[in-house]
Amino acid sequence: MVVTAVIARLASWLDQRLGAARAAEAGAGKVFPEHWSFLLGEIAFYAFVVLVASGTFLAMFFDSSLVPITYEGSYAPLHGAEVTPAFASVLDISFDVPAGLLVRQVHHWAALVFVAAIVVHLLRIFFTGAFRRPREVNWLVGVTLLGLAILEGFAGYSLPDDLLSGTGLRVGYSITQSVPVVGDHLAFLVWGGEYPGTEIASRLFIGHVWILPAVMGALIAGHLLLVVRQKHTQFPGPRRTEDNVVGERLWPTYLAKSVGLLFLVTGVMVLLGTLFQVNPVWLYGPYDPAAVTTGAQPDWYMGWLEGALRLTPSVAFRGFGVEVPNVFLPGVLLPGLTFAGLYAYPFVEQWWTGAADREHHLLQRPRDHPHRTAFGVAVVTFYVSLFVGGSNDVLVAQTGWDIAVVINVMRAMVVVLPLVAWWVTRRLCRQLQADDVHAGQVERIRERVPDA
Amino acid sequence: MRQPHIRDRGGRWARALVCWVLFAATVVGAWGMLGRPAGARQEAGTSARAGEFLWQRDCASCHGVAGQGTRWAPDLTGQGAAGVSLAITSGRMPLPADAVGRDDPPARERQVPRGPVVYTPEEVDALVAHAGRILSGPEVPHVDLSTADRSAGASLFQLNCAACHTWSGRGGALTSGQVAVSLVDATPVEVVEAMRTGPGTMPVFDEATLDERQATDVTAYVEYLDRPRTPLGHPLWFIGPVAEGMVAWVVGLVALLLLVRWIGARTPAPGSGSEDHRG
Ligand code: HEC
Ligand code: HEC
Repeated sequence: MVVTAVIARLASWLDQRLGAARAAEAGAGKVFPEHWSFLLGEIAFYAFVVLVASGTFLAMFFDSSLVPITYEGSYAPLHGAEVTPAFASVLDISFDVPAGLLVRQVHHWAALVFVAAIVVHLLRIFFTGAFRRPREVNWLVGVTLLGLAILEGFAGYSLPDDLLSGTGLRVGYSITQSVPVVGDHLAFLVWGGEYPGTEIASRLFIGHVWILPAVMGALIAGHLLLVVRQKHTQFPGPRRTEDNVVGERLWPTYLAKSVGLLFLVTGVMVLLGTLFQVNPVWLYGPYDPAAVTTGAQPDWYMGWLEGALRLTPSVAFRGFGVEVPNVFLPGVLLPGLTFAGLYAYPFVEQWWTGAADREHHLLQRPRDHPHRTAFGVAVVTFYVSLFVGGSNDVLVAQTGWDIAVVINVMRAMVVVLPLVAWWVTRRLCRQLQADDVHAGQVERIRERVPDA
Repeated sequence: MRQPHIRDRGGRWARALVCWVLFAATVVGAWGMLGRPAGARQEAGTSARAGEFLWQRDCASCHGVAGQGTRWAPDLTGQGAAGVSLAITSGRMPLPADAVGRDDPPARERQVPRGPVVYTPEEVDALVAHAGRILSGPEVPHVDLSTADRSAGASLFQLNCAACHTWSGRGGALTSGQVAVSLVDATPVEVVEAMRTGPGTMPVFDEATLDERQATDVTAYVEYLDRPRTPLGHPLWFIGPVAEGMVAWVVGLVALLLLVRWIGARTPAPGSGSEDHRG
């Protein structure tokens, strides 16, 4: 009794000051489509929530200094080794902080799944044409989030100052240097001097725990607000038109589902963190600029860049009197073009197809747009091929194939497979469309002859 | 007279013989109890012959009587007892005769994998001892890991070995087309032998590069890598980010996709559902 009264008082107090009741009512009444593919973005969102929560815990124990100390923690095989506080603090998190290793592993798995979920969400948006007017702006926000997520992941991977993160940063340094004219200055600026220096970890740390998450948080808020404002798209179906959204109201059905999904995502992350070891920095060892290791790979979302670096034939070229290093093409141009292409796609498609400039709220089935679908599948195939190229040494070590042959086959795959994928997808779409027409005719015949 | 005399002399001879035999037995027994020198020398005597015999039978056909190499197999000069010991304790040698010969490319450019050891421990000792006599090169090392410094070994391993054998010692691909094999099965003695003799395309790490202490430290770390600490979760075969990416997609994301398919709808239900109009 008392409790309800207090809640009622509090609610009306808030309402009088913030107009909360009206906002809550409008929000609670919002309709969400039921189709499962609309939950993909939510997986990414909840992975982000898990990342922020676990990351906050880790940040309390991480020390970004790079001034060498002697390791004295409880991981015996490195006792007495000269390490940086960055590395030592990650070992402390792994071996001395209660539940530290679990949280670290959950954080790392969540990062890997986060980017994966964004990619799958993006594919859903792409293949169903959900990016069309009026949702181009949200497409731009989404692509930006993908880029920032990759950067954020790379920054996190670089923090522990182990052999892999140092190797990754060295590649980052030489890619930065490869930018014509300004490259050297730029690298100097970012690293605060010659590679590796002692600045980079604290800069990455600030970027990783404050700047990037804040920007991403703001963009995610904007992303969702736009969805609320523009309302969801939906698949065509009974009662579903360009003028309405059919589905479940936020309160109570959808909210229950969504909170359930938060628990599911958290649960899967914790399971991954418990069942599978990830990034055993104690085995990679502290970073030593003189050391290299085979099997040094970036996390998967950088794998396509790694593949491009490994597969691009070694040709430095000169243009306009400037020497352009070999890594410029795969390291700067490729990601640049990738994101330029992603940003431009909705506008290019509209211009290319000359589609009427009107609003679209009903989604398209991929098969009904063979050109777009085939193009998308080809592009995905291209990046997957590059990605496979990034793990060539692991493949060779596991299979014993000849590495030179493997590299050449992979180069061919990067060129040929997308074309094959394009052709096959288009055929497939046409085939499915034809089947649909046929099924439609059968249905119509059935309707006319009830006992057929 | 004669008979008893003779009998008497015969008895004395017999007594003397018994005494001498007892004396010899005591001396040999004492020697035997005091240590191995006598035994070892004796064994060396037979093992020298056994070693030479085994070499002639199993190795000379390919590597030559003096290990000078032939058209089919490399010159073993400089490999010493250590190189031969590594080759046979790892079961790589002797190579079966049909593995070399008319084939192209010649077998010496192929890599021989580890295999079962075909010799008894005595035969191994004999062969290695023989190799030590006919080949220049390092001795079989004596490896004592009890005072080794693993953390020094870890950083030496990173610097000198990880480039080929990977950070986990699980083996990696080389641009030469060869594979830097996994170190999990190598014994401590084999690890030092490998450093000192540089099998295949592996460089030699001599005393000047890694002194005895450092070699021992590296070995201690290599041994640790056989079963390194994996405090939480399956180590994914120590492959690293490639395997982790696979798990993130194939286990993590696929599990979540199945879950959202379970809580979301597949096809829009015709009748149900609230409706919202676009303003
Ligand atoms: C059928 C021919 C053949 C026989 C028999 C043979 N080997 Fe070999 N051996 C080879 C070939 C070929 C190589 C080179 C393989 C490689 O480099 O991986 C080799 C390599 C070696 C090496 C390493 C040389 C190096 O530079 O790394 C050693 C040591 C060796 N053999 C010792 C022996 C001993 C000891 C025996 C007898 C028990 C023996 N081999 C019998 C063919 C033979
Ligand atoms: C240039 C690359 C390279 C480097 C550096 C290197 N190795 Fe090797 N290592 C190899 C190759 C290749 C083989 C396989 C040789 C063969 O086929 O017989 C090998 C073989 C071995 C073996 C034999 C394994 C077995 O099963 O018999 C051991 C032990 C070993 N290496 C230890 C080391 C250690 C310790 C270091 C660092 C001090 C090191 N290696 C550095 C390339 C390398």
